[in-house]
Amino acid sequence: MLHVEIVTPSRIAWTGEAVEVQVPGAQGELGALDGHAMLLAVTHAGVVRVRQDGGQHEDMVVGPGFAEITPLGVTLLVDRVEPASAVDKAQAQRDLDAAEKTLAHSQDGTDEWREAEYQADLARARLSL
Amino acid sequence: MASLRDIRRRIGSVKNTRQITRAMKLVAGAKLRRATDAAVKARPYQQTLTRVLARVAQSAGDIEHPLLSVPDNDKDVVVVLMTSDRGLCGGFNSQLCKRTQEQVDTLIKAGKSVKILGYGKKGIGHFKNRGYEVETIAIDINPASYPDLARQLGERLVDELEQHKFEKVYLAFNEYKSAMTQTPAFLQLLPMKLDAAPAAPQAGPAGEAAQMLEKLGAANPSAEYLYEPGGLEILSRLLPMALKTRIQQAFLETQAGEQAARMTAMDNATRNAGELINSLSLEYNRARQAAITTELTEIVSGAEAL
Repeated sequence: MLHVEIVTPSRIAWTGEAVEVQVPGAQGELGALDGHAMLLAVTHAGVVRVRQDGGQHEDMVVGPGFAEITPLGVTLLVDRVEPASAVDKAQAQRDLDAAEKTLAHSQDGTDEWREAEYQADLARARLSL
Repeated sequence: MASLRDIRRRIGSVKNTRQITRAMKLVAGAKLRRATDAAVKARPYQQTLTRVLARVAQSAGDIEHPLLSVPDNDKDVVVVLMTSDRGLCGGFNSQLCKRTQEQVDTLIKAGKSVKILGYGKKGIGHFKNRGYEVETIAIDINPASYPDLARQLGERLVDELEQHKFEKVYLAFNEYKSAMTQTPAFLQLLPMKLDAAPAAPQAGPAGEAAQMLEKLGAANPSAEYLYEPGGLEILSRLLPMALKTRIQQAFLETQAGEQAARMTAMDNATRNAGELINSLSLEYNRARQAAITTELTEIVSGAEAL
């Protein structure tokens, strides 16, 4: 069993035991099983899937961060976590449209542009559930 | 001597004031609890981050990273100032502003051009009134927006650093030592200093995992992290995260410190009001007794004259 901790700057958002954890790694989906080699990985905004004993699984939308994978467990440090049940897809689509509109007419590298890109990534993650 | 009615009126008004200060003290106490709770909950993230960062720093040896090296600029200095939005919290803001102003003046004397990024009305007002260059980033800050504010500031600073827009960034805020003491701090935020010595693992959920890992590492000294992507990319992600965490930590300490300072100040005010009421009551009773005595004397002497 893997010990999983999903931690945000304001709290421990999820903790528990799992059989397998899938995290949105920077170079593609990463799956961690029991006894995985020590690994530090950059993660993007996306969906984390925690597969628990008995076949059920829990999905969460996470912001960018990194994952520390050890043979014993997975610690995910991300800047935000939303349980799949809290995601409103219609709202996510509206957020994505708004962010893309901002991206289209604002200059690269400005505060506005960065914020829009961040929001767009999150909205895409929500929609990919 | 003040008339009886004047004294009674004063007692009434001091009692009203005492009621207000007492209510403010209670509110500050509740907010302080919430603020310290938030700080405690934020700890696992910081601890894990510090532990991993120390580990990476150790295994990577001499690292070159933009966030760790001084930008190509020897003139501009940025000071991030965090104060509260409201007063009535003792010397909380004025102490910090005074200390920060001393530091800023020293920097200006050394030929630097200083720009202040202000959070909270009190500090912004202090420096604007004195003609410093202040950019208002946020006022009327809600504690729920700390993560977003920290993220936005972190990203902005990293960007400006990469464009060599400043030499150094300092962070001026009140360090929260305890409910009784908050001390003004003036720390260098950028370029970052990397501490290769791992912090001692502490108790708590994250601490347990850390201890387990330390044991694992001791049993298998060759246990090294694999990096995906490379170590430098990991560092490029970790360092901004550490920077944002540092900023958020300062926000949390400012909030806790403000409430603690207000609680202490309002407790003192409530006590002072009580003392004032006591001495005014004494004066009132004396005056009342004097009036009665005078009246009696008048009546008695009037009766005798008959």
